[in-house]
Amino acid sequence: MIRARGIHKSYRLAGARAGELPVLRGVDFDVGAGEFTAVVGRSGSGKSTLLALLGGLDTDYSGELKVAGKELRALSDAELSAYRNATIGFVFQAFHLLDHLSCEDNVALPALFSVQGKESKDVRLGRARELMEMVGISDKCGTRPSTLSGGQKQRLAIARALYHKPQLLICDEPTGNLDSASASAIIALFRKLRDESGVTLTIVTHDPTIAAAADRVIEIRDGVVELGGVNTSAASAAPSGDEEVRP
Amino acid sequence: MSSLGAIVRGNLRNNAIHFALASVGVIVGIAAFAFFLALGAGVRQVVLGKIFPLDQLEVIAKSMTLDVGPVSLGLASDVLDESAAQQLRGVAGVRGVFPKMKLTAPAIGLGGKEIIGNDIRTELIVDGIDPALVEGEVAGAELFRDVPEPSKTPTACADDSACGKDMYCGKPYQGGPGKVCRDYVPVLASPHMLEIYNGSLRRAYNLPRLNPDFLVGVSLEMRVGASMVQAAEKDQLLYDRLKLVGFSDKAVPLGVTMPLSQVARYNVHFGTPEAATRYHSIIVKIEGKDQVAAVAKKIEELGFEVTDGGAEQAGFLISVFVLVFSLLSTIIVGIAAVNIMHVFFMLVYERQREIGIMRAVGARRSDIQRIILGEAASVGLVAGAIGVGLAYGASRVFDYVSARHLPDFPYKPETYFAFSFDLVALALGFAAGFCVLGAWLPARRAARMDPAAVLTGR
Repeated sequence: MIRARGIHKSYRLAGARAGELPVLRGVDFDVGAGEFTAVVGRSGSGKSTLLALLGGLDTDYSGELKVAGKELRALSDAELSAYRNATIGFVFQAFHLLDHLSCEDNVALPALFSVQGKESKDVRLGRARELMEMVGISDKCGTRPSTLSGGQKQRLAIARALYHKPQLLICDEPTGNLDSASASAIIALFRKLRDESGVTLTIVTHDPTIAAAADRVIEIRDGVVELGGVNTSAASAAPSGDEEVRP
Repeated sequence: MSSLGAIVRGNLRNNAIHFALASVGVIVGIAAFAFFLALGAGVRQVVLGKIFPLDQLEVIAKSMTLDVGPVSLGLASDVLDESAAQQLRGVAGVRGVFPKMKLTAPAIGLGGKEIIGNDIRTELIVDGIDPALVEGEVAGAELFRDVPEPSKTPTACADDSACGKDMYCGKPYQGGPGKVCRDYVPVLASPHMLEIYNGSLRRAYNLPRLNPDFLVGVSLEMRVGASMVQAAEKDQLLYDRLKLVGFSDKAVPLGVTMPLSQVARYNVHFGTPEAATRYHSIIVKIEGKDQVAAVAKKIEELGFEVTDGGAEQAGFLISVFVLVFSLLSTIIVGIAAVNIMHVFFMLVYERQREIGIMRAVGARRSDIQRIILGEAASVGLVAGAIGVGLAYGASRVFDYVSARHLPDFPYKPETYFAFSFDLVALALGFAAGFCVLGAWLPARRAARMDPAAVLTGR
């Protein structure tokens, strides 16, 4: 599902510290379809940067990064947008819900940018309610995100990420803002998703419970994969990242 | 776009106060823009439609005069004939050619008792025009037709009831004892004359204001050859009764206008047989108002003169007036657009996270740009509609004040404004266009925002 080889990423700094700040220094790893992978590491180790690259939010990198058979750097803005819309789903630590929209409208937001053709409002909201039921917040239909608890907001964000049945769910500290009970519920939800739909889960986390629940842990330290990467000398035997699996 | 429309509508609702404040300048600018454009169009309609009809030219023979003291002596013929009319018909852009003839004998008119209580005796200026010139243009035009030659053996009568429809019992054409059945001579009057009477003359003589609708059908006795100043050289009078059949801009401004054949009959009687085809001017109808200048130039190249009715100057002055005030309004809207830009920059900054989320769920850069520009266009359309509404309201107040508090004057219109569909569309387009222009840079910035930086808090 994911094939990363020699990924380098630097940020340009302005002002007195002008220059290049290397964040990823040759990252190599593979993730198979349907795999539940936890990416761990200290703050500033490059985890979130790696997540942004996997999600096609940032394509300014060097090396080879293939997700679902697509070399992300080679895609145009329209192709990247279609990739974010249909192939992947994002879940953020800060939920990133739109408070002026209803919960259903938040879940159905990806449909407004769909490349798979226009859906009627009824179809959009029907699918949104179905997903809200699936993540256990069907009683919150018609309300605004601001009325939800942290755990409910994250369930809503997960529902939104699942709208187009993505092949890859990318989560950035999904339990970082939750109490332990809510965090456990979210972890259980991830397990359920992986088991029932076969979605590939890549979760950046500091949470040892998530790491423990994952099939595999990739540890990043100072911009390189310290644990769970691939031996590049045996790269030919590793997954190509071309698998087309849908949940 | 319809699904993006849902986002635009949501954002408009969510930021209603920001947008309302940002659009105040646009509302004021568009109100001023629509007000002055409508005023210009309204005044142009009155001036060029009623005072100086601009789709026609009056052509006369080229004048050559020699001023001797107070008198200008004509050195060339001041009449036109059928060959001149033929030449004018051949000019490109000419839709029709209509000869006009002046009565070359003095005439007086008597009548008016039925309207103002006393008979008035007045020198009468008479023009003759081809009835086709007013065909379909004025009410009563069908009654404005050639009059049959007066009968040599007319039917004697005692009163009007003894005569047929559209006839009266009056003096024989060439005078004499008794009364005979006669045809009325249909005449048209100029609305200018009525405007001058209602606006000025009636005050001086303490006479009632006249309603044009009730004047139609009024008759007046005419004596051709008679005058209070100097009678005709031919010592004989011709008697006719004129009947007003309507008002027309094509009628002589002061006097009456009758069918050309009737004037020709008088002129032949008091002059020579050639007088029947000696025209004093020719009305040339133009295919379009924008062709007037070109046609006038060609006519002058043929050796004729085009009378200057002041239409071009009036049109030019109105255009300058409209241009100056439209420019001022444009400056107001332009300044408002800068304000719109400022507000959108602020909103884009405030909505970074929202834009990042939309990018993360699949919005393209062009989608983000279209959402922001869609919001700007919507703000512009709403502000434009409010501005046009304000302009319309102000115009009604202006018309009300004019009707109630301004004294009557010639051509005082019921409304000074003309709000056409085109004007409203232009004002709305202008408002939306300026708002889109103002939001262009903020939309570009929003579209180029780095979603990774916004969403991962980098």
